[in-house]
Amino acid sequence: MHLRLDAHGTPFTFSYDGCEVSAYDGETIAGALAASGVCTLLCGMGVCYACLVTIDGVPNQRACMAAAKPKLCVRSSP
Amino acid sequence: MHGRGEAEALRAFLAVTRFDVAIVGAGPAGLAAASSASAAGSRVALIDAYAQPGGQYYKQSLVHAPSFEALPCKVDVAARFFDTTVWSAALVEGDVVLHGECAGAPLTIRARAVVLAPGAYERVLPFPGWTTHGVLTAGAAQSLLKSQRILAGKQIVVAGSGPFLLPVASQLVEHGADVACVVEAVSFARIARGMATALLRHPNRARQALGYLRVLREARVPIRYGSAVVAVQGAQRVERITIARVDDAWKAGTDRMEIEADTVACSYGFLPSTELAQMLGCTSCDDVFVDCDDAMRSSVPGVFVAGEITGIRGAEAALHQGAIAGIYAAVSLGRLTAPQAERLARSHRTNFARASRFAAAINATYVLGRAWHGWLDDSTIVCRCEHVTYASIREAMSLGAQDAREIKATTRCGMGYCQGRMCGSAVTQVSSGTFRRHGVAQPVTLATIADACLPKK
Repeated sequence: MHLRLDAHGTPFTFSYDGCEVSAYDGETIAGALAASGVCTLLCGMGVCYACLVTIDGVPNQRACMAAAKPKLCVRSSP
Repeated sequence: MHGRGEAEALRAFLAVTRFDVAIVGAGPAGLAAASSASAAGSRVALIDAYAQPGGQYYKQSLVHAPSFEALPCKVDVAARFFDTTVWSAALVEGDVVLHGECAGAPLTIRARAVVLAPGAYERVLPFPGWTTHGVLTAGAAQSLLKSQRILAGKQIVVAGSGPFLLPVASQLVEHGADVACVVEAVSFARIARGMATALLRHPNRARQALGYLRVLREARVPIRYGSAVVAVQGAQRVERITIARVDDAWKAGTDRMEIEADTVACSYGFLPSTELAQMLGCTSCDDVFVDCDDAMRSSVPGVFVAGEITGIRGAEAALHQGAIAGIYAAVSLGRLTAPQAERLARSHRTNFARASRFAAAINATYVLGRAWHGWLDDSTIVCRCEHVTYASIREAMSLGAQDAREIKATTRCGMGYCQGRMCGSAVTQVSSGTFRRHGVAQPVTLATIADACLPKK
């Protein structure tokens, strides 16, 4: 079952704890993760800080607010 | 995002600019306020944490080009500061000074009046297993669908309490999601009793509700009234969900069932974002919503409020309140006379009153049961940010912590990143009182605070 209802443009990938995750333009990191079956969201609107990740070495970023971009290195812990 | 040069130019501009009205929040209330204040000739700054206007209700698509026609008001009337988090509000020499952060860069906006329209966020109640991946808010599931066209999971249970469960479940179904069931803690009898008159008086709302129910019935999605998700199990992700019958106080009975699903979308109503209002000293009679008069003036001169911050009444009520707030902000600046304002505000007052009556029926019907914390076990984490368990909270209470503030001080519950937004309601329910927040409304870096506080070279 596809959780991503429609995909536009060319997918790209970023890494999440060493695994490759594909994403499309406009998706957030949490969105792309959810589409790949990893649902780390709680509030999904930047309020709860439950989805904090480290992005390219910068800790405590909200995965639900941060845009997915090619080649990002995302880690679930610092 | 701004380049360095642009950011410097913006800072230089803001350093010498004093707006008439700053509006925090570009949802229904904020958009309407921007529209009516600028129509009265005010110079408006519209600020929102998202990159696009609309708030949660008029949430724009992130993967498709946003359609601003869908918004109820024009947004090009104001100076727009989107992707901007306001972390501090203060009164300085009669002006309101807002400190924010835009894409990591500090930003200070000064205005003669402010309209706070920050909206609300969902109330989640903890239950055993709720920190497992796959438990999210109903709003998150809806927003993921609306803005990114992604389904939160393969089999979804929509659970909690309130009329919001129905549109979320039916939108998920319409987009092909497998919704296992809808679980509503309030009994059908209570809903029928509480909502019958209101639905008859508001046929549009009744048609809307029937539409949601029809979608769910056609997809054979059962609605379990008087029931609650009291636990989930799963290792990497939710695998099994325990649903119990609950009584009128939401005490769970022994009648339980387990179903397999990988996602729980929960919602127990909404809570207002009152941080900035608290910071500015606005009073709140009930310790939840901000007090205001029928011109949307808070207790602090120059500070207007609109939308969910004054009471959970939905988008339509927020639109009218926003319009009224913008009108009276313009009055406070001498841009409109009182009779002009009365004339402009009249229809908004009537429509607000109507939307408000429907909301009152909802709020009186879907009341949080007092016994829900019976679902918790000792090891249930109540405060996710600081990993405080229910056992620690009870221990603090047995050692003499009497209200939410004392529990916070003894356990660190509510002191983490979310500043008690997620656990505050739960802690208040098991004890009394509320958390107070001080100083900083949103997490920001020390560099940002230093930039706002230290003299510029």
